[in-house]
Amino acid sequence: MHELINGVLLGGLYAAVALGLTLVFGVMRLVNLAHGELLVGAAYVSYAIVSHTGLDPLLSLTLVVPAVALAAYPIQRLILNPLVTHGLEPPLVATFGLSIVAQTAFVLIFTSDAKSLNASYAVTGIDILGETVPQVYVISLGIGVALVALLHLGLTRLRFGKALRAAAEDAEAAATLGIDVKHVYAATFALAAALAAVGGVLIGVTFSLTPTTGTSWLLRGFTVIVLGGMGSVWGTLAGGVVVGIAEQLGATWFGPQYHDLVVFSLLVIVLVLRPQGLFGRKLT
Amino acid sequence: MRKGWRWMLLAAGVAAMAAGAAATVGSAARAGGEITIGTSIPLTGALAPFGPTLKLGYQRAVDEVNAAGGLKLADGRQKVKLVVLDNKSDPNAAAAEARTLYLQNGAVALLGAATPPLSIPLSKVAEQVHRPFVTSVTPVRAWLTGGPYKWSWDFFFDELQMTQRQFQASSLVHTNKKVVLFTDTEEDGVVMGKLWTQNAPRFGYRIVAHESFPVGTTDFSKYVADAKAKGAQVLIAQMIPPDAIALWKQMKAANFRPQTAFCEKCSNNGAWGKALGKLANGTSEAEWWVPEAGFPQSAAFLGIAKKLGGRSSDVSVVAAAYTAAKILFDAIERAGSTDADKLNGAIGETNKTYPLGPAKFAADHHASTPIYATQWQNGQTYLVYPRLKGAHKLLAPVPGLG
Repeated sequence: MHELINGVLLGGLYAAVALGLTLVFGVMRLVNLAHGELLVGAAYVSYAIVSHTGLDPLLSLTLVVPAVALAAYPIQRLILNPLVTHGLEPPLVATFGLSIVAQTAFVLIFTSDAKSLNASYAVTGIDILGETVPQVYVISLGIGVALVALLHLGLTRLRFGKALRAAAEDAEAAATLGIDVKHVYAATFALAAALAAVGGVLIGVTFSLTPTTGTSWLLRGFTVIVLGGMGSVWGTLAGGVVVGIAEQLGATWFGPQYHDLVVFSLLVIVLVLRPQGLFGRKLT
Repeated sequence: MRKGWRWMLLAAGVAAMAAGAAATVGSAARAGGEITIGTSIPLTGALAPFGPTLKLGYQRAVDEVNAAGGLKLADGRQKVKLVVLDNKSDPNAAAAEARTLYLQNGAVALLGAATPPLSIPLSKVAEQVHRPFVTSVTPVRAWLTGGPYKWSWDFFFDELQMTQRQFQASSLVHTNKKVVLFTDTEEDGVVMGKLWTQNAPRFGYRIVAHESFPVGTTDFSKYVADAKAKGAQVLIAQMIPPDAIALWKQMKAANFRPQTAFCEKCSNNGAWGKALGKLANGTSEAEWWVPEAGFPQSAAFLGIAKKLGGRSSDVSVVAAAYTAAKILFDAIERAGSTDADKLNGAIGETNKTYPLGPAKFAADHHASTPIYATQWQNGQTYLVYPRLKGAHKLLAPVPGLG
């Protein structure tokens, strides 16, 4: 029971972490290797704000989210947009380069010491079906589900969402219809960064962060979206929950040193049986 | 046949260049009247908390020697040049950098990194190139698993003695003698886990739970629930700081408050207190330097502690690094030369008291330092065991988890 409860709760956090990754892939077919650094960078921005103001980390998101989104827009517009039309490899390599630059910057500014975003709900427990879990796990699930629902609504109901889906479906056709595809791509990247900011702050509150923390979370994020279906928003939530439960059960049944083996074995099995992931590849 | 002489000429030329390069490397170590000492340390990566303080300790020793005019050799004084590389906490990078330092930079000897995953690969390179390597901040038994060594030397605590301190310190307060171990699957975690299990009965303690997990584990709530269910009142952890921060948060959330909580490799740096704030209060750890021990330069290192933000294991790493460097420099002066064989022999003859304590190497090239138990109290670490003059009272149950 503990494994199921923890797995579902952590699945919400994993979904929050991975949502931006699936959005960028769904629209631009871009595998963003700097996504981990977006998570960690946002957490560091929150750390800086919280250290100076005493603001609660989740409340700091009101400042962190727009800051990260504003920083991400020109990165896509000026660096990645020109590369997107040259195939898959150039933007992939570019995002890898950006991740290295970001990690180095984190070390220089914040040092390599492990840091933590401290909040009372990170160290307070809540009882669920007889199991005591950290309150922040429950908050993470709530936030993860809310982000998925809001993103789905945005993509299906808002004009920008429709433009985004049109660009994802066929960029050339969307352009002929008057959609500014370059702006859509940049805005998508900014939105993905904003979502990553939420995930990053949750990581900092729930666990800890170092300049290289993003790498392991990027891997986890990829696992979530591939299992759930790359480009599928609800699939990301499902993938997050599946990975969360698989990790917990894998650690219990086979030992904690095998939980990665269990998760990646599950990933391979799902891909063999259903290559498009649990929910296919569709940007809704 | 006509082409044959050209190949012979080419081979001879290559051989001459190689011989010249080897001679250049050998003499480059003292080119311009300088002795090159190298070190590959973790300035970034998971073990980065050790890097800057290792560098500080080595540089302090180098500056001290150079301020005195350099090391005294048979043919006069020569200053020391310290070459520092960042191995990013990666064992493969450490090994590659060791080769670079020895073979390209011409280092006559290397000073070590921290922890066995880094120090063992560095030692192995020293054994391959036949040049000395002196390290500290590396538990000796785990380090010896990479041996046998002819060119490598380690002056640090013996895990057998270190893994007794947690029980001895815990006996200062009342507990039910039930212990939970949290150890990662790195070499030192495996070695320490076995030693704690071995030592516990000797002091009347019982291991009721042993949670073992890979580095990078984030969710410990199941293990905390297990420890709580089994009534453990003594917690001993061996894990890296990022993982330990998550564990401490989850222990507080689960309302698990042991009487004593030791966090080895994790709370042994100043960042622990900064990261966790009040939650860090009451965390204990084994320590290899305290000013109360009264070894050389205690006051000076206490002054360094103040500059680093207060008493913590950061200054212990500085003291350890300084000691390793001084052992090497004293050996160079005794040898009167940087010849590898003479220098190595001189290191083996070390018999002197340094800031870490008396150093005398055994046949397997290790020397053990004294070991203490300290506890985080209001943002600094203080000696709690043994009860030397100036020791603080051990606070129990762990205040930060209450």
